[in-house]
Amino acid sequence: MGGGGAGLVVRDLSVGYGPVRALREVSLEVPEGAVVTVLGGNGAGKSTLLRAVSRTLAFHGGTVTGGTVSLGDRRLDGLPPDRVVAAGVCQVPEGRQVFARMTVADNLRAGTFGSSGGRTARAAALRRVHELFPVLAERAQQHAGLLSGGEQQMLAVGRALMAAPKVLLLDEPSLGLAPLMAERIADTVREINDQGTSVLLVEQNAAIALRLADRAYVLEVGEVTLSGPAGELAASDEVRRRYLGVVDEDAAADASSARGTAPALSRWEG
Amino acid sequence: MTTFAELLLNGISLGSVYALIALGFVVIFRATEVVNFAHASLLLAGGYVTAVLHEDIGFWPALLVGIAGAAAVGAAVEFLVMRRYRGADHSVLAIVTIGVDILLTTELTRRIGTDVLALGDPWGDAVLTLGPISLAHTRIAAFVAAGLLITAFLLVFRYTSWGVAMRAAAESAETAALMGVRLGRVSLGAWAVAGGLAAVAALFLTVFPTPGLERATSLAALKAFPAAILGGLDSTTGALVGGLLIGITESLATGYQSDLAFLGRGLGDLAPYLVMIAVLLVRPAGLFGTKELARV
Repeated sequence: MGGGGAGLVVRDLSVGYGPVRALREVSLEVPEGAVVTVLGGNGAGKSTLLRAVSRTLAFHGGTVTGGTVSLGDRRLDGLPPDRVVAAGVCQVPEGRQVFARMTVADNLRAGTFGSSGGRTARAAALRRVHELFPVLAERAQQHAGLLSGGEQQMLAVGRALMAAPKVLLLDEPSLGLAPLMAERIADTVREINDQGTSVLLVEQNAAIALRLADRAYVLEVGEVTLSGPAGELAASDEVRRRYLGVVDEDAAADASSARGTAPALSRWEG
Repeated sequence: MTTFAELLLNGISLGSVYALIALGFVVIFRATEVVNFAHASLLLAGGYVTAVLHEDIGFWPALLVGIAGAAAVGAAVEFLVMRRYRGADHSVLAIVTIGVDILLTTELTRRIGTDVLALGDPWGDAVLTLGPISLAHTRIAAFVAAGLLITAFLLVFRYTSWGVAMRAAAESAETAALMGVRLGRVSLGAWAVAGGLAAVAALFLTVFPTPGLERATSLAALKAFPAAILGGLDSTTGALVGGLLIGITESLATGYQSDLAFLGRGLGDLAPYLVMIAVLLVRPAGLFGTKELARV
């Protein structure tokens, strides 16, 4: 699948936090140039999956107990976090996590430490980030902690792009943002992908995620329960009901008939 | 009035030396969030190397070796001890540094014994007289050297990649790691820099009017601890201001001791801690310690 290029492949990955199993034999694939989304509720293991790929589980007391992660034919499991970034996989952490006490410019500079490119590559990356997010150029000397939530998210994405990654891992980029700003971030993700960066997007906002993605996986209690092309999943009843908040007609009919036959409810309606 | 000016200048000079030590504390704390109680022993190690070597290879080479030696000891402590505890609670790590301090200090005091070692500095006991004020050359050298080092350090911290990596790691180790910052290197660098700064401080804590390097030098080094704390443990500016404040306080308290005889002797040694407590009562995070600067 994906032509076997430099896709990100996760195979039978199991992760535990001490005795707690967070992921069970999860397999997924991000083909080169694709946007893949992982849906799931709180505690489904979405962030754990990203941490396992970016090798930062240790900060949370987690360990990989089985399975492999590879980029193309390069194994990523077993590498320290900085080598994963150097290999071309960079994560935008959940909740933005910009360096609040540092200026916007220094934040972006911090994004270049994992980059394997030289000075010209870094300058090109900075130009690209400034084109995507002109506001970051305007506020270069401001402290990142004083940016708005949306701007901080832009900075977090821009900072990750400074390493010029082949695969961008996004952990809940729309979290805590106003709907309009969430849409803008979504547009940017599309643009970044058009420029050739593969994206693994973890989202609770399934409507946005399914629209962006080529392929989607549904994670529940640490296991992949559904996967397929994003369009198909978006059309499936289960996903619509559970993640899109859409009630299909049969279910709606069930509900109304249930109301009709349940006399106890009339008390509340009256 | 003359006495006051003299005491003040001496205090500033002494304070700049304390600031050097406090800066080391702050650097390690920012990079690793560990309070390094082993700092005084790094200082003693640097001073000891300089003292032992200066007769054979001359003062300046000996000083350089001393600085490099203390940096190497710092790096070794990080690499051999602290790194093994990575992921452990920071308070556990702080206690580990107490253990390291006891080991290092015991070995060094065993070597120093009851001797008072000269460091062979070129300033001797020369005194500069400016009108009514007289100031030891060593005090001027201390002020100039500390000023230069601190300026250089702040520039590096502000503008170089190492500085950016360090500040990023100080804010969030995990996020820094996600960006490809090598935390091990940052922490190794911090310990080495702190060791080097401590070695320079060791020189100026042991030159005239102090008799020389002895066991008790590490106690003098501990006075930089209140300096770092009252400045705010995570602030480089705080280390400088804290250092100066402690230096001046100590100098004045010692100088006017006779006027304060009702308080008993040894006020100079006590004053830094009193100042620290007074400051912390008003500002628990220290003068320049971080209050969260964030929009949620």
